[in-house]
This record gives sequence, C-alpha cells and structure tokens, in this order.
Amino acid sequence: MIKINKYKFYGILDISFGLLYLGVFIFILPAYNNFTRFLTIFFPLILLGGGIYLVTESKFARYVGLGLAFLYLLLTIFILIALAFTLGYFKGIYGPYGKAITIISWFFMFMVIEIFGVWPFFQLKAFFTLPKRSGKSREKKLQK
Amino acid sequence: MNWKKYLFFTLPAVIFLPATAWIIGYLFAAHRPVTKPDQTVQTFMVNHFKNIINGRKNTIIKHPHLNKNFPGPFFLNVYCQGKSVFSCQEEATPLQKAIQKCTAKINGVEFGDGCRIRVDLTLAQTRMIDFPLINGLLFLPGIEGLAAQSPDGERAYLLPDEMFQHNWLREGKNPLKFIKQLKVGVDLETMTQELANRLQKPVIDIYRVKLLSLVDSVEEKGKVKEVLRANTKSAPPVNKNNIYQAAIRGGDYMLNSIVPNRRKKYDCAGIGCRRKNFFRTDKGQFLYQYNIITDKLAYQSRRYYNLPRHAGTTYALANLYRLTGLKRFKEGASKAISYLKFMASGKCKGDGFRCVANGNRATLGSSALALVAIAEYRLATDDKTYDELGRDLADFLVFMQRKDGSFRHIYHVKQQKPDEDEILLYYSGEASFALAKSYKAWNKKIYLQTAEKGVDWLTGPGVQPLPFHFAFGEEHWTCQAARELWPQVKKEKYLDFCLKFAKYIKRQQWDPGESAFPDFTGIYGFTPFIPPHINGAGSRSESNVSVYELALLHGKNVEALKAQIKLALSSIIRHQRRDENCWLCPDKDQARGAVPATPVDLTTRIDTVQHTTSGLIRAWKALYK
Repeated sequence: MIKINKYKFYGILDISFGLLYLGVFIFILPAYNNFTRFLTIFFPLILLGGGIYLVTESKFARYVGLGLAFLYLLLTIFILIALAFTLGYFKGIYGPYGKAITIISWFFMFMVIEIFGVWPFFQLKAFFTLPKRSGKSREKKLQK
Repeated sequence: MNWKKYLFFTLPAVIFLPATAWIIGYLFAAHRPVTKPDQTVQTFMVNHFKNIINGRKNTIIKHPHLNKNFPGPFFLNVYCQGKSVFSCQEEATPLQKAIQKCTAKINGVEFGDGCRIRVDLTLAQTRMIDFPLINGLLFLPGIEGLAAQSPDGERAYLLPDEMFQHNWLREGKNPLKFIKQLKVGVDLETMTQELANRLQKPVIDIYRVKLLSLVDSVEEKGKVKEVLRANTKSAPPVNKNNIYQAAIRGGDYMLNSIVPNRRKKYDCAGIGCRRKNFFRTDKGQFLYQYNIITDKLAYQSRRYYNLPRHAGTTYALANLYRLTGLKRFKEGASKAISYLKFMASGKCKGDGFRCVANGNRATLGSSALALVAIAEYRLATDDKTYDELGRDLADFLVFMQRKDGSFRHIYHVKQQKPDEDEILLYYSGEASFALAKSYKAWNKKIYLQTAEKGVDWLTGPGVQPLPFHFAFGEEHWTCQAARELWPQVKKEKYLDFCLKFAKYIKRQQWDPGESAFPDFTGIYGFTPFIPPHINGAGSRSESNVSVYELALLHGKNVEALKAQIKLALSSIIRHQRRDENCWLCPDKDQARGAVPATPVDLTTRIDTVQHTTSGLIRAWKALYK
C-alpha cells in the first residue's frame, strides 16, 4: 500500500496543474499581448516551483501551500472579474459576433472556476487544518 | 491514501475505455477497401467511354485488374451542360463485365459536344451505425456515396454528384440555434428518404460507399483525373502564370456579374423567391449569390442588397485594372461606381458630407468600401469623374470618428445622427484603409491623420478587452490600412501587431498532410467536421500580402509569411472554377472564375470572388513582380 502525505499529494497536484497551465498557455492558447504572455507563463512557473517545494516537504512547506492556494483563488476571482467585464463590454455590440463572445465568456467563467478555482480551495482547507511548522525538517529535528 | 484502490479502477478505465472505443470504431466504422485498379485500367475506364461518345471505335483491353470483383457497382455518368444525360450502373463482378454491359447500353446514343465522362467504382461499403444526433457527421460529404438496403437485400445508391446537385451536403443539423449559419454534417434524413423512394421499399440499413471516382480531363487531353468533391483531386501548381490567370478569371466573373439593365430577368431560388422564380434588379449591381450547379441566383433588389460587398467588389475591379492595365476592368469598375454614386445621391448626407445607404441606416462599411473603390479607381486611372463623391465620403468617415480614434459604425439617415452604441465587424479597419487610400488620391492631410488615429486605436485600445489578448478579430482591413499608411506613417507597432495577427491565423491554416482531405489544404479552418470557408483564404491573403510588404519595408525577413500566402493561393486556385473542374456547371461561361463558399457548398457569393481575386493579384505583384 502506498501512503502519501498531504504535502506530497498537493505538491504533485500543483506540479500537474502548473504543467497543465504552461501547456495550455504555450501551445493551445498563447497570449499575443506581451504583458499577458508574461503573466500566463509566470504564474504557472510559480505554481510549478511551489509544487516542487511542497514535494520536498521543506521547512516552510505549509506556508507555501497556503500561499499558492491564496494566490490562485485571487487569480480566479481576478479572471472572473475580467470575463464579467468582457461579457458586459460585448453584450449588444458586434451583432452575432458579440453574442458569440458573450456566450463563450459565460462558458469560460464556468471553466475558470473548475480549472483554476477548485483545487486551491481544497489545498487551502488541507493546509489550514495542518499543525503549524509541521514540515519535514521540523519532523526530522523532533526525531533527533 | 490508498492508491492501490484507485489504481485498480483508474488504470483499466484509462487504458481499456479508449482501446474499446477504438476497436469498436475500427471494427464497425472503418472501410476495408479492395485495392484500386492500376493507372492503366483507370485511364482505360474513362477513355473507353470518352472514345465511344466521340464516335471513335474502341475495344476493351485485356488486363488482370479487369477480371477482379469489386464489392459493389460500377457507375458511368455522361455530363452534358452540367446534367447527367446518360447513366449506367452495373455490378462490377468482374469489372470487365460491368464495362461490357455499359458499353452495350451507351453504343448508339447521341451526345452533343463537350460532354464529360465520370466513372465511379465501388471499393468498399460499410454499414452506418445509427447515432441519432451525430449521424450526419459520420459521412464524408462529397467523397462517399450512400447506399440503402431493403429487407430483401436490394440496394439503391446515391453518388456524390447527385448530393451536390440537390444541396444535400450543406443542409446538415444546426447545433447552436443562435448561429443560424452554422450547419454541421449532411442531410442524411432526406438522402435516406430519397433512397427509400428509389427502392419503393422500406430501408433497413444504410451504407457509406467508398468510391474510386474519375473524370476525363479537358486541360490535358487523353488524361484522367481523380475526383475529390465535385473537383479534381490534383490542383494546378502555384506559379506566377497560374496566379495571374486565376486572378483574371476572377475579374471576368465579377464583370459577368454586373447587371446590364433593369429589364433582364434572372432565375432565382431560395428565400425571397417563393412567389416568383425570377427577379429583376438595378442596373450596375453585381449578382450577389450564384449557385454554380443549379445555375440559380439568390433574390436581390435595391432594398435587399449588400452595399459594402458591392463596394468591395468594385474596389477589386479597380485594383485589377491598376495592377494589370486591362481596360475591361476599368470599365467594370466605372459601372459599379456609378451605382454607388446613385445610392449616395439620396438623403444620406450631413454637414459637408455624403454617405451611401439603401435604407434609413447607413453603415460605415458601405461608405468606407465605396471610398476605397473610388480612391483606388482614381489612383489607377487619374479619372476625376468621381472625385467629388470620393471627398464627400471621406469627410463622412472623418465625421464618424471619435476623439479617441474609434469610429461610430451606424448613421441614422432621418435624424442625421450617428449611433454611439452599435459596433459591427470590420468597419473601423475599412474606414482607416479608405482614408489612407484617400490621402494618396487627394492629398488631404486630415485623411492621413484620421487614418493614423484609426489604426492607432485598432492596434491599441481596440484590443484591450481580454479576448483580444489571446485571439484576434478579423483584422485583415486593419493590416491593409497599416500598409497603406506607409511611407507617411512608419510605426513599428503596426508591423508587430500585424505579424502577430498573421501568426495567429497561420495556426488555423490547414497545412499539407494535416487533414485527410487534400482540398482543405491552405484554407483557414478549425475542425475537419465543418468544411472551411474559402473566403478567408482570400481576405487573409490580402492582409498577409500587406503585412509581407510592410515587413519588407521595415527590413524584416518574412519567408514563413510568403509560404503562408502561397499555401492560401493554392487553395484558391484549386477551388476556383475552370472548365476542368466544372462538369457539373450548366453555364460554364457564368461559372468560370467562381469560387464556391466551401468545398461542399458550391454557392458563390460575390465577396468570395472579390477577396480571392484581390488576394491573387496582389500576391502576384508582391511575390513575383
């Protein structure tokens, strides 16, 4: 039986999502605006780095896990606001084209919650319930 | 966590579900065709009958492939003026016997000149599984035949050409009701009903029929061409001469489409033609939508006529004259501008300007494209006849611009007031392009400033909303405007924007070998389930030529863009109607130069010919001259 603790579990999850976001924003939906392109690469890299840190169960792993979850929940809210703005902007203009953008924006709003918003919620919950400073180095010290 | 438990269920699901789906799909849906007869037999099958209808004696050759059995009938059709005037269907068991039987039937039948031979040989028949919602997607439109079987085993067949002739390939299901034009798949229900009528019995099974389809060549006498969707599978190569010839054919199609007088009657079909099967319309209009197979037009009148597209077509004619020097295009452009002048002579006016409208709402696009046409005509001919109208229209565009550089798109003629809310596609780019051209035609500084402000807005604040960080709208006019502003405006950001746009649309272009269908190559589309529209290959080539020229002027190397343009041109040349790929055209003279909407929808809208022709002639100049 393979046993896996929360740090490793959420670390692997963060790495997976980090790679997924990178794949999406590099190959499937690359941004053409330079600043947006930077952001869409930068945040997944943060997640990837944070995920690796969690897997190693280092000293500040709990805080990193909480930070990543907070960051991505904030990003989710930001993206939802941006999509809501888009929806409002295009509603009623551009005829059928605008209608299509509005509908796609609605669709993306639901997708954003699923893809960006669900896992940080569980990660936040998981790390809140963990005792403080329960990282690997602390455990090692206690064992000594 | 107990991972074994999850692995126990997850692994089989991940591995076996796709494997099962693939096996079921392969076993039940994949054709298992027999080997095609070799080239000698293919050539013989067509030329044998060609010789017979031309009155030449012919004997059946001896070849082992003729003794082979094929899993269905051999079909022979003789097409004269777009209609099948003789057909023969015989079981190819063996093939030689079927050919002998058809020879016996055709001997002694009289045919006129210029008839074409098409033969289809069944290579496989695969039963279709009934999936009610997606049935229409499981059939390769225009490539496969359809067979229906009655309870006693009798089969009736429909060939792809018949499907084209009855428009069954473009009348699929509409999955998104709010996009009326979006139709997916083919009209399988109507086709199955037709087969049941032919059988005069109920249908218990339907089959997809894989065919080897061949037609005689008119361009290369004695040669045989493989057929792909009412077209030949092989396309003419992209070279200087073929591009030029295709552009001229497109130009002549537009000239033939100009209505010579109000008395002329045109056969029509579709919405608007329910009471009468003909229409008459204003002299100087272009025939808007023509079906090259039914030889019928869509209804049009002064009120129901697309003025922006009329103006765009006029521009294409003026542009052709400017680049080729052929006088007939100048005359055509002049006739079409006269109609625009007539349409601008009404109540659509304001303080110091005039606009083009065929109702109470004047769109920015109608006046912008009319101005593009007039300015191009002026630049090409030096003829000052339309200068006053041109300047009045340019002043209208200047009036319609806001302080931030964006444009109002609608002008209410009665109230003489612009609409501040409604925004439509393309118009801002068209207006900027028109003003940039106007500056070159009449040298008025305000036109240049307005055009520059327009492009600044389009490449700046206009693309601030989130979707435009990841995708582009239809920016082909914007990039043409950016090119037209050179050398007065040399902003690097225009080139950067347009190169990104070109890169973005390149991702949508079908590359060779990327699709199973060679006739998709070069066209811009995003799924093999929806046949791509050829119009985009034209409009985007116009834009890409501008970007290419702009990049060279900025000293940038853009070989990839050149390849992208050539690939799009190859698709235009492939789909444009010539005598070679027009055996289904009742009126070849009218159809010559037409570019159908998609590979399966053979209606031709005038703006498709306009964009493709402009794309061709401008690429000819940019890449080869």
